Amino acid sequence: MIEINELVKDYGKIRAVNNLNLKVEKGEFFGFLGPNGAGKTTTIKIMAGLLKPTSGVVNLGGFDIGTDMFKSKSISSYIPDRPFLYEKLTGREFLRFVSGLYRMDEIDTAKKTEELIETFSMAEWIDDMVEGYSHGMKQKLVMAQALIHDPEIIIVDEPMVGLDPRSIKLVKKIFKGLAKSGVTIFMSTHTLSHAQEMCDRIGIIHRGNLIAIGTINELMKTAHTKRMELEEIFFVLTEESSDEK
Amino acid sequence: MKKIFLIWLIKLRSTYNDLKRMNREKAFKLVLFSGAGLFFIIFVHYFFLKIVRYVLSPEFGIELVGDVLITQLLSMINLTLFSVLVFSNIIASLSTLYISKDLDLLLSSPIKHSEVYVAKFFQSVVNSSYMVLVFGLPIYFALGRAFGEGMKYYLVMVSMFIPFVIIPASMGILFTMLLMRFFPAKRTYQIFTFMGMIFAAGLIIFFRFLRPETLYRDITDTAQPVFFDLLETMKVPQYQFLPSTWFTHVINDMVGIESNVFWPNILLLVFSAVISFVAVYCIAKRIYFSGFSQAFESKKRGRQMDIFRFSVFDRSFRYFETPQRAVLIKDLKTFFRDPTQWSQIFLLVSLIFIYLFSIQSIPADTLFLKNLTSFLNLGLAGFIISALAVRFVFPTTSLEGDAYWIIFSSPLSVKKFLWGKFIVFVIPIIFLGELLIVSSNFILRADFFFMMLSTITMFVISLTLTAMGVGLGAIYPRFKHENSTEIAGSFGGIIYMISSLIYVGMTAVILARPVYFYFMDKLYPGAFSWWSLLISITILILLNIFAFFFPMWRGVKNLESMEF
Repeated sequence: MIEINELVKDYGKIRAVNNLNLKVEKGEFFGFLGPNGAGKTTTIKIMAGLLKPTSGVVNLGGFDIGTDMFKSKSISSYIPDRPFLYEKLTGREFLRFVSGLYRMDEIDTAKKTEELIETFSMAEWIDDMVEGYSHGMKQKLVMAQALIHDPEIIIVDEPMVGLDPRSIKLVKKIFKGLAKSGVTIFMSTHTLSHAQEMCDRIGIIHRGNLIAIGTINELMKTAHTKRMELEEIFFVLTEESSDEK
Repeated sequence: MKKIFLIWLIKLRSTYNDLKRMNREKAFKLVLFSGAGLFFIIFVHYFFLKIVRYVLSPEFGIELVGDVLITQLLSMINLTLFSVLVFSNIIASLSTLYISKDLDLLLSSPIKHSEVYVAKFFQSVVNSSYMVLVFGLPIYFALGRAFGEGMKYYLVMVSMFIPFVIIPASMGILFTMLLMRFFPAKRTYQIFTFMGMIFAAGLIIFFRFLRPETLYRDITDTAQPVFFDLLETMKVPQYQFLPSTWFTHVINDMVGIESNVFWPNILLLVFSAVISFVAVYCIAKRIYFSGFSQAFESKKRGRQMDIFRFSVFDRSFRYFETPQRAVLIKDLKTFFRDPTQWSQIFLLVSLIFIYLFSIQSIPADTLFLKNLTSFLNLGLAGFIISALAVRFVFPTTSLEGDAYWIIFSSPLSVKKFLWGKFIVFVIPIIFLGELLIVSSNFILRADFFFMMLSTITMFVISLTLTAMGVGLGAIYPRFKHENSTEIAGSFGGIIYMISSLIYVGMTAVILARPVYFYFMDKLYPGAFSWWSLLISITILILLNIFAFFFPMWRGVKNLESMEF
């Protein structure tokens, strides 16, 4: 469903992503981890069509993001790490606006909007202006907009930041349910416990290089550790990689 | 006290760093604005110097009338400056004392709240008063030169500005602090911006209705009613309790118009400044911090009360594709819900009003003059449309702001995004352009040829200026901005203004030849050259094709290749 081949991204002389290759299957929940500045957000922004790769190919659902950009965008959704929204719209108007961008008709929009308001418990404030929302409310709204057109792929950058424990539990449940129903999820996060709990496979990127990829068991072997905690595996792998440099 | 200096030092350091690491765009802007500012200051200085010298000159003839006129003029200027200072301090202090991003850090650090207040008080004073100082001093210096005053006059003048600025600052800041006890900061800022726009519009209309052009008429003949009209128009209330009146008395004493009023008034100014500062400081100690925290605590989520039903747009835009329609409705909603944006319409209305009023005041008596004015008016109206477009059309892409990711990660193509924006703006821009041209042609009673020529040309100019605005706005987007005026004043905004002025100028030059032949034809029938008209129209079409499509094409290319 997601195929990244020999992806390179340079910012001037700095190489942010170096020859990245990976494949994520349909319905798979993929976790993308790495320390700050490792190249996670750059990779995600390339997948969302917000950055152009220096070289390499990104395929979403069989559509090359470079040549078939609009087709690949229409089957995918992007959830950024910081939920900047139009402050002067209400939540409901914002959802309607996004549904318009994805060419949804009025009936489907109305039906899906009500469904999402219910799912994310937004009824109490959905008709208020976004400017008065808390970070968590905005985050919920951003997630709801990402689901409004029933995407096949969700690309999500740090989804749990600013959410309260109840909302985190809700988001975990929703994402797991989506993956089960065949939606592919590509999630970047710093919260290792969430990644361990939710993801089928995990990729670890460090200084632009994919240093490990696989299930928790596979990562344990790569890291030569017997402890099952992703935190431990992460530290071993990223430190090893730093030492090699 | 040390901590107050520390806060100022940080501000100075940031400004220094800003200047040191200035990029080419910023340097260009700085040079351009400083040059324009300097030119304006020199102009203001010499303009007033000429007026004052003329009024004092023997050929003006009437003894003591010059003094009366100068006093009236000074009272008017001082009262205006004082009112502007109060108002700009209200706006500036709201930002520096309540919205500024460094407040969280300052108020959470071990500095007394009163010290933060004092530092911010003077920051507000500087922010809101420097323009008044820069444009006020050349006027007072002109007065000093005209009366042949020595160094003492200039020194007193500069030092007197300090108490003159402190009093309105204290008043404005006190007003803001009291308001902040009742309203959330963001909404108060919007209310103030809205009031500011109305105030500015009113001020522009007020000055225009003073009809400054009447100063050029012969007013030496006191028997003429115009002289008394002028004195009547310039009459300003001289309330003795107003600091602007004390200021006028001090100046009058220094230049010799009045006597024995220097010390009482200067003492009034200085003591009032000290007392107002101390009084507001004491009040601030009680209410500033509680107002600061209370203002943000009371920030509630608001349900929007719209001015009109937006469902009208749903029907009006039904011919657009769904994604374009979504963007257009979103743009209109965000525009009409943000008072800082839509309140500028007041300025726009006052501008049109003044424009038409000025056209009416032009003494065009002959048919030749009427038609010539009608033609020149085309250029002027073009400039007005450019000024509107740089404020409303040019920022349209940048206004997506930090929410740009929503549009650019969606399956809406950049081409459709930009052309949709063009179509929405082109209708009001054509309407405004034609409103200016057709109504001024009616006022001037221009003939059929000029009516047609200017109406058709204005239609084309409006189309092209809108495309240039949307296109250049996409070539030079500024997604990171505090407010929309910042976008219009950016490097791209200046490029837009320069290129649109060149475009309008070129249009007028291209049309000048057939217009010349038309006038000749009136004097010598048969002199009109259809070839000349045809050649001009061809060149005009080519110019417009280029000016219309090139920025749009480059804008699309730029956004497509842009990295967010």
